[in-house]
Amino acid sequence: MPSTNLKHQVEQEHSSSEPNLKGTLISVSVVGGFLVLSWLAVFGLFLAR
Amino acid sequence: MIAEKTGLSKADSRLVMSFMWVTFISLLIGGLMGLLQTLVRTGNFNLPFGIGYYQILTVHGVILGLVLTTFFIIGFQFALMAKTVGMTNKQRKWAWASFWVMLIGTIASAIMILLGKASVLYTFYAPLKAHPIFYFGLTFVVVGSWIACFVNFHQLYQWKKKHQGEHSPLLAFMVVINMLMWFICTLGVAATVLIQFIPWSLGLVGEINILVSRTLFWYFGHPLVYFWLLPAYMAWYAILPKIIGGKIFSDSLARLAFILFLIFSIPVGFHHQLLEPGIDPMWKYIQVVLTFAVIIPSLLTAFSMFATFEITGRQKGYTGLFGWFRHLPWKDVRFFAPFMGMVAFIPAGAGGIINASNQMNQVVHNTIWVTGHFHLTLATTVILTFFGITYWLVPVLTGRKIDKKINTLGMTQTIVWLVGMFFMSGSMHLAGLLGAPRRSAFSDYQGSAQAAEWIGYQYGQAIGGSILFIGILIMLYNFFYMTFKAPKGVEEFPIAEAPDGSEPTPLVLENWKLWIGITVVLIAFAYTIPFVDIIQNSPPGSPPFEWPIGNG
Ligand code: HEM
Ligand SMILES: [Cu+2]
Repeated sequence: MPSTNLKHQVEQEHSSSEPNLKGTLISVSVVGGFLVLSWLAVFGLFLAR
Repeated sequence: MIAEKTGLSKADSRLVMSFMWVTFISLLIGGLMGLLQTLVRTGNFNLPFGIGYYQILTVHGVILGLVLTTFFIIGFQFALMAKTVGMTNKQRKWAWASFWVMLIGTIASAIMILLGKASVLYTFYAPLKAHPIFYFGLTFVVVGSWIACFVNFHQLYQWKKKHQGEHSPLLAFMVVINMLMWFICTLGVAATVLIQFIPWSLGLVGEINILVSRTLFWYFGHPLVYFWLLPAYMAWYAILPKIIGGKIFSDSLARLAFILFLIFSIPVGFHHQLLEPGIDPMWKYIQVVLTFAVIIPSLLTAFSMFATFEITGRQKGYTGLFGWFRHLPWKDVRFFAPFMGMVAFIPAGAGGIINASNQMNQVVHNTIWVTGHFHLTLATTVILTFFGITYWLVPVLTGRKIDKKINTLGMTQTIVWLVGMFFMSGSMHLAGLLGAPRRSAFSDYQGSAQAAEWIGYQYGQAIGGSILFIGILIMLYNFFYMTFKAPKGVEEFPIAEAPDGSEPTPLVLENWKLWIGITVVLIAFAYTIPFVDIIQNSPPGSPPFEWPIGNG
């Protein structure tokens, strides 16, 4: 369980804990990617017409 | 005793329930019209008794887009304010006044629409002319909502007086932001209705400046969609964390997002008028740039939601990159319905960015793609969140409990809605890309080859629409059950807290003068020059048209 270890380390370094938000980072990146791709798809349609 | 635990008195509950009743009666009437629209559009169904397509489409748009939303939102917000900052007897009297004024206006407009005297659709674009009572009715709805604005402002003001130097409760802050935005934007629609439409429909003046009326309408029309969305965000930011057993991710971030919505929601109406001649393209461009600024608080919200879920999951001991996903209460409809609303907001948001992009707007403008888009934003994201709220709010108000039965029915309702919307909205999007128009009954356009491509999707919409209507019937049953039948008991009013040891929220976030000032300056910047230009260079106004639709 590498992620919990990491959390522990961080907790010791700072007095308040920094939460592990790797899953969040990936999730929001996927959402962002989806926005860009769908935009490009319709832009392609615009160029094609 | 119930009141003590749930924090809402009997009197407050009765007030909020009245708003809920109007909401759910509207859902039934409006939903039935929606079903009829999809059937007409297959070409195999004709409306009986000489009812016109635009008559039912006006009922659908007005009652679902304007009435259901406004009543639910104002009722829900009264509940939030009563719970977080309290409501005095005097404030409650004014709140009832807002309810009755809005209801009288609604009934007056509804009668005109049902008589076929106001088939002008919910955007009531000039030069279509409805019966004057239709416009008076709308005025009452807006004035009633203003009373609610001032009650909410006064509630927070009184609380602040008693709690000097403290932060307002997050939900109360959010309600006041939403009502501020609503007040500022409805000034535009009130201006066009009172100064332009009413005198013109009464025959006191002969002509109407169409471009001015549309510009004032969309000055209101875009913030309108944020007026629908922000109450859903209130539930996402400040209520869902409690339901999943966690804390708010960041109080400051939530407030910042709401302030950005206030600032960037109004000076952007031109993105609905990109194909309108007579507006300087430069100013359209500026407003499109401002529109894209709304992406920032939207993505802040997405980040905040994922972070809440992940942190809560990790605290519960779920590890790995996505282990936290499993801890979410998938079988609790109070979570599941709003969560699916969030999921729907991903394609909905993507569609919105496409609509607002000048070039692509030309691909989708006035096609049924647009209808598909707002059935995702409004009729899925917002509505599923409102339904999710209903599953705890109505029991709180009626002194009953959510039982297993209602939870199961709620889960079923959510899934039925999603399936129906997948077919209906999906077909609308695809048909729109192929050029199928919105706001139109069936036609084969004299055998045009292009129109022949759409027919499969029209059937797709009818299938989706029928499934959705079943969803509406289930929801109505749920509402009745929670109002009259569910077991008596105390249901919690879920309000999440900020995490322990979090940084204090910066006071600048509650500097109302600053944020209102920036909002007003930005509106003045985005609208003054183009608006003066529109007034000075407009073509002659238009006489009213009562035919073929309108007041025929
Ligand atoms: C049974 C569920 C529903 C069905 C079958 C349905 C169907 C439709 C259809 C077919 C149209 C477009 C017709 C046209 O442009 O010719 C439409 C428009 C619209 N719908 Fe729905 N809808 C449903 C639920 C909702 C809900 C829940 C809302 C809002 C809360 C909503 C809001 C609107 C609005 C504002 C319009 C625009 C009307 C206009 O363009 O004037 N609909 N609906
Ligand atoms: Cu808009």
